[in-house]
Amino acid sequence: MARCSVCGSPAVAHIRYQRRYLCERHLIEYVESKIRRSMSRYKMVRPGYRVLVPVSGGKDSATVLAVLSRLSRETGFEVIALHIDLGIGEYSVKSKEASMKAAGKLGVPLVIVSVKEITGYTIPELARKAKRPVCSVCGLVKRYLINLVAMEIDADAVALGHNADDLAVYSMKSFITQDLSNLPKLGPKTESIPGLAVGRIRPLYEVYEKESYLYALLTGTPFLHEECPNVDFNSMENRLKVHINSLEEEKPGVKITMLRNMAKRIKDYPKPKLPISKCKHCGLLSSGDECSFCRLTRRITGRPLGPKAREAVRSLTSSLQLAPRQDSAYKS
Amino acid sequence: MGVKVRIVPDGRYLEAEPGVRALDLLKLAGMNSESGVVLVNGRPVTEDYRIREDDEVTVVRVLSGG
Repeated sequence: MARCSVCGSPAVAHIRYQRRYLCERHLIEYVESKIRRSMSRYKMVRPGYRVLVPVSGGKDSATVLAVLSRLSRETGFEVIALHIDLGIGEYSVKSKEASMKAAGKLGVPLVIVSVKEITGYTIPELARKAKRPVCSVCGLVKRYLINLVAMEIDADAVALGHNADDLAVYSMKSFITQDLSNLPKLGPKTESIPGLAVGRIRPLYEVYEKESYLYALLTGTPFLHEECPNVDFNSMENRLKVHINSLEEEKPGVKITMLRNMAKRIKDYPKPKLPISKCKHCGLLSSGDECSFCRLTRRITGRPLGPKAREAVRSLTSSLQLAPRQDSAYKS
Repeated sequence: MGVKVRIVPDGRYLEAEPGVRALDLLKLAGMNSESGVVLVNGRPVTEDYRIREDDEVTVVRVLSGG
């Protein structure tokens, strides 16, 4: 059996692009040091920051939450977790349980927002009513609610769980469809737009999906290893994931090389063309005078539900014990 | 006697002969060393590990759908 290249204990993983075998302890250290390096290389957080971590219950957001809750004590930033209950049957019940267990174990405050409580419908019901694919409605609602909660708690950044595999695939898809102005959105960090949207950071930018799984497993961070029942394995993204990983097996390191180089070239890609404006109903980020969440809910229920969502989230987050803000000097 | 191998999260099962390498199990389950991990008695093993008769073996697909 292979031995750890650092200490000689039995190995649990072969990091092929580094030509190293690692034992449990050194794999955990390796993933943490990789995240720490990415966070400093891409200047993701500063002391005094308030970071919102949306957790789905899956391995990637569990890993982000575990590492950030540890780093937050070292660097002096604040971490708040958010779970969105999508109402996708038993899958959402288990996802919520896993999120609660992870946040509980790590001692991170958790906000739970239910799509059904806010809109009166679950995600599958909203999709049916809107006659739109369920994954597109789900993405829209999640992006909206994540930004809304981040704005309401005055967060400085939202830490997403996208790993290197996800980002390599999204980038490849943007190349294939020549949606080049999507590429700047896939970088390790996007900036906040004051009053409208909170910027995102991706601590797992250089962490492979397999490493993220092993980290969550070996640190005993609770997570749900189950697929959403709506997942389509024949989607472009999922087919690309298979192909990129065949290439990675032949050419270890290809995913990291691609992402590191992309991060350097982001400024050279075209900026998104949509104008930045404010939704007339809810006051949050929109590309026209009505944001996509208010439009979707207006078409389904007869009235835009952004303002109601803001009120509900305000009352949900009012009981959070947030660290006092020193001043706005931290904000860039 | 073959070793029963559980595939997660698909819920399928495979049967493998003792002595088979973990990497071969990944291939049998339609994965490779990037997309899957083999757990023996709940702990990850490297691809060169050879399955023993009394091992409890799980092949985990680590790539999630998106």
